[in-house]
Amino acid sequence: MNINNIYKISIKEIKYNISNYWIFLSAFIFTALNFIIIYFSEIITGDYSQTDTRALLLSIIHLQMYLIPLLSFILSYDSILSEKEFGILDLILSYRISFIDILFGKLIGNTIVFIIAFFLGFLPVIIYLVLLGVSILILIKFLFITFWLSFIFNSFAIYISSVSGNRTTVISLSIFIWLFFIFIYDILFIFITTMFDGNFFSDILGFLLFFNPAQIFRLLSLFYFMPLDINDLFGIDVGVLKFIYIIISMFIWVFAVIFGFFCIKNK
Amino acid sequence: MVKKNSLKLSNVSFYYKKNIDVLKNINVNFHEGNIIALLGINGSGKTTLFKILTGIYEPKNGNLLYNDEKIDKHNIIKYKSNLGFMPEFVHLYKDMYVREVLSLLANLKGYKNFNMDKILRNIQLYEHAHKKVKALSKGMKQRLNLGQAIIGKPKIVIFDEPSNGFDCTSITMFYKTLKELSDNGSIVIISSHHLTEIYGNVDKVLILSSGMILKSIDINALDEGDKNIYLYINKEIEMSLKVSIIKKFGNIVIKNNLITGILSTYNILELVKYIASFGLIVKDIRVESRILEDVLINLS
Repeated sequence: MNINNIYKISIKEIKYNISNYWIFLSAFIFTALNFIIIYFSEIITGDYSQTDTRALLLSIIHLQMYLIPLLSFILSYDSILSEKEFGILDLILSYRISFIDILFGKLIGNTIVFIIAFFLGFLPVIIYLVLLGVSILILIKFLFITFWLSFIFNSFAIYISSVSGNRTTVISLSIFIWLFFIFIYDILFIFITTMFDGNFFSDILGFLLFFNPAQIFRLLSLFYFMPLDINDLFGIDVGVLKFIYIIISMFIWVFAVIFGFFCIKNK
Repeated sequence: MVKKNSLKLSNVSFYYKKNIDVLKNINVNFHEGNIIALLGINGSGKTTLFKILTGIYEPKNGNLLYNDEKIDKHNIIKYKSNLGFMPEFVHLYKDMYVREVLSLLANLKGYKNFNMDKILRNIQLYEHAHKKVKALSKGMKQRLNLGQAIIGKPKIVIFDEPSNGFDCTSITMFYKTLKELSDNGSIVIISSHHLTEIYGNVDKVLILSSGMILKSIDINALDEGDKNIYLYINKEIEMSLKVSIIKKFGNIVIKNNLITGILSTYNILELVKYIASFGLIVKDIRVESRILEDVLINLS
C-alpha cells in the first residue's frame, strides 16, 4: 500500500466528480430535501413563527439516515466497475499503482467528494438550525458522524463494485443493501421488540443496533441532539447503548471495511 | 558497459480456470531497438499475454524477466515504472479536458514535470487540448490514449490493437512515434489485425495461436513470394489496354485508374514498364507482402 498513490487516486476522483458536476447536483439534493422537511415541520406546527425544534431535528436526522447511504451508493456503486468497462482500470494497473491503492484512493476520494457535497448542501440548514438555537458544537459533531456514515456506505459500494462482474448485479446488490440497512433491519428490529415485548434477549438486543451503521448514526445523532429521550425511542433495555460503546462500534466498522478491502485484494 | 534493455518470458503459462490454459509455455525474448508485432486471431491469448507483460496478471507458471531480473510482487512497481501501455479499449475521462487528462495520467504514472506541449504536438492534439474528451473524434481519443502511453519515454512500450480508429495520417504518425521510441532504445511490442500495416513497420512478427507462439518471422525475410499490389495510374485505362494487361499478367483487376492484383516482384516491375510503354504514368504504387496474411488464414 502506497500513501502517495492513494492520495493521487483520491485527487483524481475529486477532480472527476467536480468536472462531471456530481458534487453540485448532490449538494442541491441535500439542500432541497432538507428545506422541504423544514417547510413541512413548520406546517405541522401550524405556526410559522414557532418551529418544533425536536420534531424538526428528528426529521433531519432520519432524512440524512436515508439520504447519505443512498447518495453514497449512487456515487460509488460503479466506481470500479465503470473503470473496468472503460478499460481505465487495466490502464491504471499498468502504472506503478496497486489494486489496494486504487480501492483506498477511491474510498477516500469519494468520501471527500461526498463531504464537500454534503457540506455545501447542508450549510444553509446549519445556518437555519443555528438561528433556531441549536448548538454549533453539536452540529459539528453531527457533521462528523455523517462523514463516517458516508465513508462506510461508500466502502460497501466500492466493495460490491469490485467483486461483481456486471452492472445489473452491482445495482441490485446496492439497492438490496440500502434497503436492508435502512428499512428491513429497522422493521425486523421493531418486529422482535414488539413481538416479545422487549423481553427477548433484552440484555443483548441493543447490541444488534451496532451491526447496522445507519442505526449507529441514528443513535449517535440522538445522543448529540436529544440525549434524554434515547431510552424511550427504542423501547428496549438499552443499557448497552452507552456513548463509549457506540464510538467503539464506529471504529470496529472502519476496521471491518479496511479488512474487507484487503480481502478483495487477496482475492 | 551499458546494459541493454531486455524483456523475457520464460516458460510462461496462464489460466483463468484451472486446466484451461490460455497461455502455454511461452518463451520469448524482446530486445531494445526492436519493434515486435504479435499476431493472432481473436482468442489466441494476445490480450492475456499483454496483461502479463504489463504486470496486471502474474504468470501461473514460468517467469517474466526484465534485464534478467525476475519480476514478482516485490519489484513489480519498479518494473511498471519502465512501462508505457496503450490498451485496446479505453474510454478516458470524458468530462475532463485533454490537457487535464494527460496531466492526471502523468501524475498517476509519477511524472510531474513532463513536456505536455511536446506530447500534444506529437500526437497531433495540440490544437484540441482545450476540448473535453467527449468532444473528440474516435481517432483523436485513440491518439490521446497513445499520448498517455509515451509519457516519460518508457523503456518498454506495449500497444494492444493501437490503430483501431486511426486515419491514414494518424497511422503514419503512430508508426513514426514507434520508430522514434525504438531508436531511443525502447522495446516496442504491438498487436494488430492490420497485417498490411504491420508489414514494413516492424522488425519481427510473432504468431500466437491457442496460447502458444507458433512462429517467429523476421520481417526482412519476407521479400520472397507473391505480393498484393495497388497501382494508381494518372488516367482511366482504355478497354483495349485493360484486356491486353489482363491477358499478359493474369491475376489482375482493373477499375477506372486503379490496378489491383497478386504478382511476384518481377511481374510488378514488368507491369509498370508495360503500362509506361503506353504513355501512362504510375502515380502511386503500394506493395504488400502476402506471407503474414497466408499464415493467419492458415491458422483460422
